Amino acid sequence: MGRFLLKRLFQTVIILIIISLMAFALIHIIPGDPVYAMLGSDITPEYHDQVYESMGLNLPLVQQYFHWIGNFVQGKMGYSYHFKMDVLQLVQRRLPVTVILGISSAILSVVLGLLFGIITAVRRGKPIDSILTVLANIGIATPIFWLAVMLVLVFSIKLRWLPSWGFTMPWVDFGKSMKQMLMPTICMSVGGIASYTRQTRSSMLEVIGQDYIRTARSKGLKEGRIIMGHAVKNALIPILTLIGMTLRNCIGGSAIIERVFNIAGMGSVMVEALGNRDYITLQSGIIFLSLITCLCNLLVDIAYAYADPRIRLE
Amino acid sequence: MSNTKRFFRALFARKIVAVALVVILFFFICAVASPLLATHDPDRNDLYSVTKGPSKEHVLGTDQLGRDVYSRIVYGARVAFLVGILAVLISAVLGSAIGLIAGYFGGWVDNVLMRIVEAMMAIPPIVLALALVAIFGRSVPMLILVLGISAIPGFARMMRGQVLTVRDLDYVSASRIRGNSNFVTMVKHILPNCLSPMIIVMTQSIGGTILSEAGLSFLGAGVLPPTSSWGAMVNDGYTYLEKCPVFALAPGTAVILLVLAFNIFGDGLRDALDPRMRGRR
Amino acid sequence: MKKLAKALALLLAAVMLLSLCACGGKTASASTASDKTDSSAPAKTDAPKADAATTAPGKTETGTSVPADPDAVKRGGILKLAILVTPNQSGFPISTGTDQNVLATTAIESLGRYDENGQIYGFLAKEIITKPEVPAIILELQEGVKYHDGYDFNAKSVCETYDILLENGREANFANVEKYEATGEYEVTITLKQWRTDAVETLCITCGKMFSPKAYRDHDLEWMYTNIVGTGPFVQTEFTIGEKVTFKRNDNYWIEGQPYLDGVEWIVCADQTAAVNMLKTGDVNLIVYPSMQNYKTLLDAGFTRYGVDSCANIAGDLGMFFASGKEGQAVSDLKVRQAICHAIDHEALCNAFTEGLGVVTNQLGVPGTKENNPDVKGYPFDKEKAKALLKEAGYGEGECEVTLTFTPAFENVFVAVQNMLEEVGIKVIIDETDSIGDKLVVGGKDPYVSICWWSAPTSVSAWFRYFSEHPTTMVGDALDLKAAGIIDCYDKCMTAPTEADQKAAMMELARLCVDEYCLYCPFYATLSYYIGDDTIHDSDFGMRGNTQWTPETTWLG
Repeated sequence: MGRFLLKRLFQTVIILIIISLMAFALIHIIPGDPVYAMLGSDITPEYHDQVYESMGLNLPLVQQYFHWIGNFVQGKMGYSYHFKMDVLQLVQRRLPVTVILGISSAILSVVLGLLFGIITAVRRGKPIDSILTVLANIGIATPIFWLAVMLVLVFSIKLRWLPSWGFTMPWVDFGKSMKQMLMPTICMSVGGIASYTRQTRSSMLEVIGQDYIRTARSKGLKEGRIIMGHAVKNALIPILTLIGMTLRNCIGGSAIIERVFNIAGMGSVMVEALGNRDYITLQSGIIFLSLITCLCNLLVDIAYAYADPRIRLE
Repeated sequence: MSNTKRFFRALFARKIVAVALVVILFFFICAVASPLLATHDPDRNDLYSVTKGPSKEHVLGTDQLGRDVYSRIVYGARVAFLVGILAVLISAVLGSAIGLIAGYFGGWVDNVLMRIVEAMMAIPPIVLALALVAIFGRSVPMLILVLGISAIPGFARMMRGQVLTVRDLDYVSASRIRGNSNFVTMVKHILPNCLSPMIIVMTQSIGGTILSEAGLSFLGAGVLPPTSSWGAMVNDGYTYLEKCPVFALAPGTAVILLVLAFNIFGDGLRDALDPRMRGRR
Repeated sequence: MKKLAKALALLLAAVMLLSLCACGGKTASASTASDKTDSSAPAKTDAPKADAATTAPGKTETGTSVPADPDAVKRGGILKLAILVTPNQSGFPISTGTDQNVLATTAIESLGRYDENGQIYGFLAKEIITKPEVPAIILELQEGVKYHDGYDFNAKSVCETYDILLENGREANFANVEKYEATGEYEVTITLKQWRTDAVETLCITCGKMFSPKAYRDHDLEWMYTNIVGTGPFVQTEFTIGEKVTFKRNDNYWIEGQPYLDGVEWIVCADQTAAVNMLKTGDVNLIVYPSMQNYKTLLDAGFTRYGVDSCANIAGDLGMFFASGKEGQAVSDLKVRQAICHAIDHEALCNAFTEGLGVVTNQLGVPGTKENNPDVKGYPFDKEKAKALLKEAGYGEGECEVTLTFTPAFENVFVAVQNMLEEVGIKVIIDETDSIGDKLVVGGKDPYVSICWWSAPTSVSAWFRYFSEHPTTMVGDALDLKAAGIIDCYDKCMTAPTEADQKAAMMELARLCVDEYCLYCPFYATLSYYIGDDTIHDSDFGMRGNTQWTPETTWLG
């Protein structure tokens, strides 16, 4: 177990280094002088040089990278000229919002997806199977912002049940937070729910056909116990590895969802930073968002290895 | 019964798959024969009849510039197929190549390639696509490239998994013993065995790619106007929900239908190509 | 399987139905607006209405609990506004961005203000005395005013603020100033090199926004951008870019009894539709700078327009200018420029994009303003003439190629213009710019485009950007402005001793720029339009080019 942990940890670090290289490359690939692109061409040359130097752009390329990544690790990510604050401060403010939204929609995807998957597998061919399968398919096929706009129209403007915008931390005002989070979370998890439903369904169907289930049946065990005790347990393990992927998609979707629901999270930071060519924020944002997915993947892998000893030997 | 026949029987065992194929074909015909099917020039403005509802002249009404919505949807099918299919092809070719090489050679090659793929995977897809759009610009070819690049990791991982299952089989070793080069072995003996899962994933990703295009349009990074793309139309339309519902709903419905059709067809293909899944549904 | 197909069809139908039901939003939204007024309903006044009587200082007794308070009904409440872009330099309002100014006005007051007719009256300077014969301007300042940080507002502080502006890139505005000095505790004398008609506007409004010099000295420019410290009726409590800017009542405000509101909140909302939803659910009172289509939708749904139907209040007109000084560019040819202008159908653009608030114009000065020259012939829409001119210039069908810069904010107008140009056989290449890209173009450093979009101010005093020796915007890039006599003509507009002389010069300028050289092609101007619920009174939103409002007299009810 210890060796496995170390290996995974090492891999994660390598992945993060590659991501940082990609983020670093961004500023050099984008055409034009990055400082003029960020601040506009009407700044004075002295100011340009000052910013240029503060970003370390005057150093040789390799040194530049180490200068940047060294500062990054120490928490000196630089100053965002668009958001007018330190990038670290900005991330501290915005990242939790996106992480909470992302994790809750990932959880919702898993819980509802598994539930629907089990139901459709057990009730194969029954109306509930058809309805849920169709719903899942439509869920995947709908543009996410379209769904969001429709939900707001119905539940905020017509029925007035839910607020149309904003975000509150759950520990500040739990009720309000839940109300505000409901629609964004649903929108972000629709894709996840649908794919989990499909995956679980087929994986369950496969397991149900296996010998040990038949044995259990012949032993006269109750159908419910067979499903929950044997089938689900065995069908679940491969599905759980997808959690990291789901979180990645949820966090990606936040760029759109945060815009529709006017939520001040990391997704909207990324879009605004791109629109305003705020590369300093962009670079750090990419690293932080990827960090979340990487950490989540790592945790899932560890949990997985814990649950299934065969993995550790791989 | 011949293999082909068995395959088609399995494919169309479920009627809905046939329906999906019909929908796909329908839109494909729209894309190919758009000049014949369209009633108007899709880019022609008529600023004196903007956002009008359906009429005899304009079956689905007009958009915010007085352009015929129906004709734009017909022409939009071109962009949808072009972007959907070409982007998926790009990611399939590049992704599979990476997966193939990584899986076949293993060792440090595998380690390096897969870490890069995982790094790409860790970056949220929309953020990756937005950054690429900022670099490459917003034309249709660039959009295809951008969406293609951001879908590489999925294919690479799938392919690698497939290669690992066949790499050590007898006929692969035999090919190597016979003195075939690595390249020949990979292309001639390994690739054909990985094709069917690849085709399945490709069909299933086309829908996702069309949706990504819509999402990028919403964030202001879709194709440049005046090219008619469904994503841009959905984006233009939803602000007119109250004034001109047809304009808002028609392109959305087209997107949903085509994506749905590709997904269902992909599922059907999977069932037909993967014997284990046959008859389970 | 059949069931699946059936269920699918049913569900699709249901989705469409649901959406359709949701679309009949007209009645529901209308009731929203009226619900709000029912709860605390004084007699409805038609907003906005500038009520001079309520602005008079010192008339009301202090304290909100005094029963005799005639303004009691106006007191309280927090005004919430949705703003679409994040103004990130508001505390140091030297930028020309209107969104920066309108937000900054909540806390920073200027020496002078505009009235409904665009005339300037003294505000923080209670009197602005002009002496064209010296030439000089004398400012008599309000007494007993303090900045939010406790610093005294007086002649010394005004001079300090001017100093800071000079240090930070506003030299151009002071180019005509010989010197400024405190000639009394509350008197500033500004000596000019030469009398110019725009001197008062430049010094009392453009550079007249009185932020605290102490705040600047204690911190730095970057700090100032997000910290609005002025003398205004509201004190900033939070400034978070991309989220919100909030203000609370300034209890030590220099006009007794004012302001009426407890606070003002600017909620940043990047997506137009999200802003519309917020207004519909009552989360905000007003959308600042809505898009035209959302304005129209909301107006139909029963919301109130805040704006003035006077051309003197137009912020700017939309159009394009020809901007290539490069050899061999098609637009360097006068005939091509004229052909392009003839190809544009102004009426159609105005009809499709302004929802009845547009004014068609063929020159910078919009009809109804003193800058407009009614005798300018312009280039009426005439496709055949456009084609003929192109032929004269030596271009056949599809041979003339122009590059059009594309600004996402005007996407629809852009596509329409592109379509019009293609109809007369001009090939249009698209070149996208974003907000910063705009700066690159306008900054004059990279004149690679042949046609630029632009939103130009309609008042002559703001045209120095185009017609000075060193223009910041390249209207004249297709032509040597000096040789053509345009710069001299503009100088005459600004230095004319009498109004008649100025008028004559302005008429000549319009003729030269349009009929003679065809430098630009304005399409239309739009009357100011904000949209909100009907609870806001005496706010003056939408007045004077949307940059100014009167937070101290605003009340909700």
